[in-house]
Amino acid sequence: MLVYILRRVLLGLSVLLAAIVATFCIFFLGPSDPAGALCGRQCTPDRIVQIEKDLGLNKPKTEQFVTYTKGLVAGNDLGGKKCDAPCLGWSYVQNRPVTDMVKQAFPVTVSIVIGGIVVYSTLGILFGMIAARFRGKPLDRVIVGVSQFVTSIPYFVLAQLFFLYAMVYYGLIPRAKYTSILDNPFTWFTGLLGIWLFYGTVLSANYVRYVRASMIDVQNQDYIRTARSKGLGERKIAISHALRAGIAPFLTLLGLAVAAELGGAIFTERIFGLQGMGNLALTSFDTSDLPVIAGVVVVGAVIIVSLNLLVDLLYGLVDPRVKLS
Amino acid sequence: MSLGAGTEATMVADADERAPGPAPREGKSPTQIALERLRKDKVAIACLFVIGFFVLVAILAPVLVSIAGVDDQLHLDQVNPLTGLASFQSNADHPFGVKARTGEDLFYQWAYGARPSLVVGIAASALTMVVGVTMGLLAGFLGGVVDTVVSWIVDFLLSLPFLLMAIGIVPIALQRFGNPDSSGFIEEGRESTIRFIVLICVLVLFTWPTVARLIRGEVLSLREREFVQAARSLGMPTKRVVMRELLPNLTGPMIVNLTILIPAFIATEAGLSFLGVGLKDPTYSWGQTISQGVTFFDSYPIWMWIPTISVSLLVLALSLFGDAVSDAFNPQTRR
Amino acid sequence: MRWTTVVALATAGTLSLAACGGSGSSGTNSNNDAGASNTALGDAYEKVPASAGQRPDVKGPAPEIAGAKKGGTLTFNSDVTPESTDPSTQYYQDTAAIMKLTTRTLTAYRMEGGKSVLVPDMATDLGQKSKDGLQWKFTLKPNLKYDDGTPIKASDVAYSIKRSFATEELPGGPTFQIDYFKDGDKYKGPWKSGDTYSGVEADDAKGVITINLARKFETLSYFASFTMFGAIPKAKDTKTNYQLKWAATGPYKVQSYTKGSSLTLVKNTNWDAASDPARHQYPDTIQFNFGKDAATTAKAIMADNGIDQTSLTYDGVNAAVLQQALGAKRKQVASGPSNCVNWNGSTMDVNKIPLEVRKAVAAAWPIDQIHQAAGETPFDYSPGGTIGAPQVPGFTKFNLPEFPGKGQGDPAKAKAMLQAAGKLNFELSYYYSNDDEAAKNVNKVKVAQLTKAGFKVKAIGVSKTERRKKVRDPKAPVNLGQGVNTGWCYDWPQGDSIYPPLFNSTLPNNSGAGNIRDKALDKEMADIANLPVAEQGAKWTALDKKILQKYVPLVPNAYSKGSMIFGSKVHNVVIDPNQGIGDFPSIWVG
Repeated sequence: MLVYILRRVLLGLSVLLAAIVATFCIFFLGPSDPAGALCGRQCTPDRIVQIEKDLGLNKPKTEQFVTYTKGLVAGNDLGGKKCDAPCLGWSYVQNRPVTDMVKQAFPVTVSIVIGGIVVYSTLGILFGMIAARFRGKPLDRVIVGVSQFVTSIPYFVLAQLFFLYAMVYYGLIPRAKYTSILDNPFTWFTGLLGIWLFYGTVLSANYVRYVRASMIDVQNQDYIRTARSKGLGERKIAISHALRAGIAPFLTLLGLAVAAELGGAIFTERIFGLQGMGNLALTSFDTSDLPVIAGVVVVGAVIIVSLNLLVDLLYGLVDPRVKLS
Repeated sequence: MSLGAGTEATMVADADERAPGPAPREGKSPTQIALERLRKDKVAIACLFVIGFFVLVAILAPVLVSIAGVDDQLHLDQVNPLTGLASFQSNADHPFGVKARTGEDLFYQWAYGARPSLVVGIAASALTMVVGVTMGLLAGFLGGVVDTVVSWIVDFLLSLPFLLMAIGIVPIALQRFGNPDSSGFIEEGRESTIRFIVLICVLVLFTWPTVARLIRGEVLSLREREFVQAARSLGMPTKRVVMRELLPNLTGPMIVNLTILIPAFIATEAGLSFLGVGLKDPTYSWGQTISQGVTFFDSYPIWMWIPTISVSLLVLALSLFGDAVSDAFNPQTRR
Repeated sequence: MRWTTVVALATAGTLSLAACGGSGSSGTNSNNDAGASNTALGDAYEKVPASAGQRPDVKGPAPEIAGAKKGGTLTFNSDVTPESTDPSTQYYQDTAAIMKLTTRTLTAYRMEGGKSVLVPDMATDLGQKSKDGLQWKFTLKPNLKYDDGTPIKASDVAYSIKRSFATEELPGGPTFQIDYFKDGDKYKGPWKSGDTYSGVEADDAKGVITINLARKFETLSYFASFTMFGAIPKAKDTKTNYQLKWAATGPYKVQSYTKGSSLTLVKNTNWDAASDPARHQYPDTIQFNFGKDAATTAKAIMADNGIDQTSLTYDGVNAAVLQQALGAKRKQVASGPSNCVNWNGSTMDVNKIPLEVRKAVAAAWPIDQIHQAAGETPFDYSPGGTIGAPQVPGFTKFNLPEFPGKGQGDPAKAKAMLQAAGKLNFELSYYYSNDDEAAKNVNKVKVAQLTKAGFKVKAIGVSKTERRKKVRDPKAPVNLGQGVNTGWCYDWPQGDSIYPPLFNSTLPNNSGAGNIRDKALDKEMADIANLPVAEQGAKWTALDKKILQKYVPLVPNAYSKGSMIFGSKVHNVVIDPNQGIGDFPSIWVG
């Protein structure tokens, strides 16, 4: 067991390191002009050189990479600008540590994802089980049909329409607004409820079919047949055996959903006007604020890697069919 | 988001495939049995018609636009210079209306927009399957170091946030492969070709790991099955074991995955174009048109709705068809 | 001022940056006419009182606005996120407008019936200059306080100015102080060079700030309205973090600020209305939300439900609500001249394009088509055929026949001119952003028209980022649209903030407009700049005409406008023509 965990952790770390290298290569070796973006209108070549020097852009790329990685672990002192560990770099545009900006955006995205997952797993499991139970019947067809339909429409169109009609024009659902849960749990809840409902419902459309398929799959397994032959009731089987097996893929999906949301947040946050990681990245693209984008990517990779690790470990605890080896 | 939908859809297939592929019986391969079942599925046939329609639109785009008598030029005179909008939604000259401000014809963009959607969907998913299946087979069958390396690459690629990486990679690839002249000049046609290729590569790069992971799992379980064990103990060469025994049994999952990937890629292309990293003028795409038209959905609805409905319909048809295929291969999942 | 806004105009349509949006004529209506704000479209520049000028004798408080109510919450939503809110370095129209609420400066603009007038703010007057013009003294009004009740000292103002020299720690701010102040090029701010700087001195006992100059700076009174001329208590300075929590001296103070997301301002009880001629304190709370999609914000405000009734945006009039803004909802739009003039990429390298050809380009230039393709609306511009903006005091608006500042251009005439000069098929080459929808459309228009006029056109599509680099590249192998190519926003309403930064021969290649290399012109500009401010306007007008006719370095396309849209319970939104954005402290809700 310990060996297994250790091996998974090491694997995760190596993946993470590679992700940092890849991020650095893509975002710092590519064509961009952060000095020009900062220099402004009365920009002389001298000033560009000065800014590049200030930002350390004139140094060899390898040295920049070492500085970057060192900053992640031990913090940095960038030309008099103190950047504590884990230092994700310094935002050219906003003139402050990227870590601070990510710290500020992170809870927003996490709040959206967590609430969304609660909604989507509730709806998904509920309707998925119903559909599986009434397999082939009209109810099953309706559930599957609706979920197919919803997933076919581009998400950003749905989100835009939902936002304008439900929140702005008719005010059916409170306007999305983020307050920290630490400041005021109530406004945190009401402010994000609309997004959770929307995001969770749309996501659950996918999940319904997934739950349905895995329930049907599980019901055909030998140990369920055994349970049935022992005379256990259908409902009890569904809840105690089948659902338990269904949780394992749910965990996988959880990891994937978080990964997808880290990207998908760009749409959700952009359209609903919330300042999470996605919006942070998008704004930074507009201003060529590369360290910020790279920071978001690195943090995203850290989250995905650790979630996958967690899922792998939980998998073994939950699913009777999986053995840690 | 669209990608999320795609990846999860792939996972649906994963669950479907957990049931072992039916062993050959009555001399018919699993594929033949499945095709037979499919032929009797009314929904599948209806979906085929819808898909066929859009394929025809894509192929016949030049003919369609010349019948409609529209072009890709600016028609500044078609719109009110003050509001920037045309006074009509649809008329004989411009059946799907014109864009705000520039007066570019939307029928033209719709007809030609069908092409990239389909090409991206089909080309990217075919490539994804080739790479994914190859890697999955290698890892699953050879095991050992190869398995470790492939699995590590899979883990690595899946740990990168896809959308952000895509946004970052596109401009870099343009710069690298666009062969700009001394003044940075890249021909417009060339640029859009590069964007097209880069888009497909990015989609493949970040999706093959999912497929590889799935196939690897399949191979691992097949490897232990009696017929493979038997073939190996009889001294059949590895190549033949793979070609004769493994691949035919993987056809089901592969086809199912293909039908899931195509609509997912089409939706992803739309999403990327919405963010401005997908395809660009003069390569028209529905995603692009939607993203431009979405702000005008109340004052000039036809702009957004035609491509939205088209994408939705195509994706719906493809994924229903995919379900039908999946059912055909795994009859116990339905009915 | 604030270069990014010009960029914004050029890229209108995508993520439009703050300020250069806008319509009509804030000047035509009385700005005290609450609610019924000024949306008459068309060329209203003639109606704008031409001379804003300076009024050194004005005392506080600011005259009450008729009908204005106190209380309530005012909400601003914007797509644009302020990059720096550090008073020493902020350099943007939107940030300046926001900080006017919290930060008093030595001098300030105040709105007087559509005119924007420079008045003394923290200082008792607009500065006293020495005979040789190389030393300026500003005296603080007595009993000025920070929001925590501690007194504002002259040395705090000096400290704020000194911080602006620390371009390494706090980059991105204005740089006039470095050019004009004594030893400005040597002093590197209080952290690197220490507190003592001969350019800025303070006498706390008398409340006097003394500024020593390296060369004459007749328009320093205007420059003193920048937030770097506010006050920063040294003890509370947190260097790069000061932008997150700054001491307030104006009618509002920061309650909370989440950079990139939201800013909440509440009343500052230690603000003394009686000493402040430029600000009011009407709403109880002012809320700013940043990074809000412009189209949805605009639709929400026009829908006018709930909180949107007391909301407004300075993102201009989004295309999504244009029809409403022109029709039923025109009362929810405020629009007026901004400090920008627009020439839409028409800068011509005078060393590469012969004069005759430049004239032909001017004749062919498709002004109206460019506006339309770029998505610029009557809320963004009005016709304009000069380099300077007409609201500059003393400037007289004129129209040369060769530079109508509007119209579709005449390709046939241009072709004839080319033929006459024997330059048919002359190659024009320029960069455009191929990752921007509006820029691409504009390019299509230009290529079509210029080709029709007998030019050979080489349009080079590059990314926005790449283009920003290329247009400044001194060695770029193109001849059109280089340097300050989209237009110019002046930093203060006088010619020294317009012409020398564009046409001085000492500018590096492609850093100004047209690369004119004429020492005589340099001297002419320097001479005008050294005149007393009141005498300059007329001279600059003549120079404007001369530059256009003699050098043809660019084709003026339009005067830019600033526009804001607001809910039905927001009142007295007036565009400050010197800022191109509303005067926030005058707005009330109810």
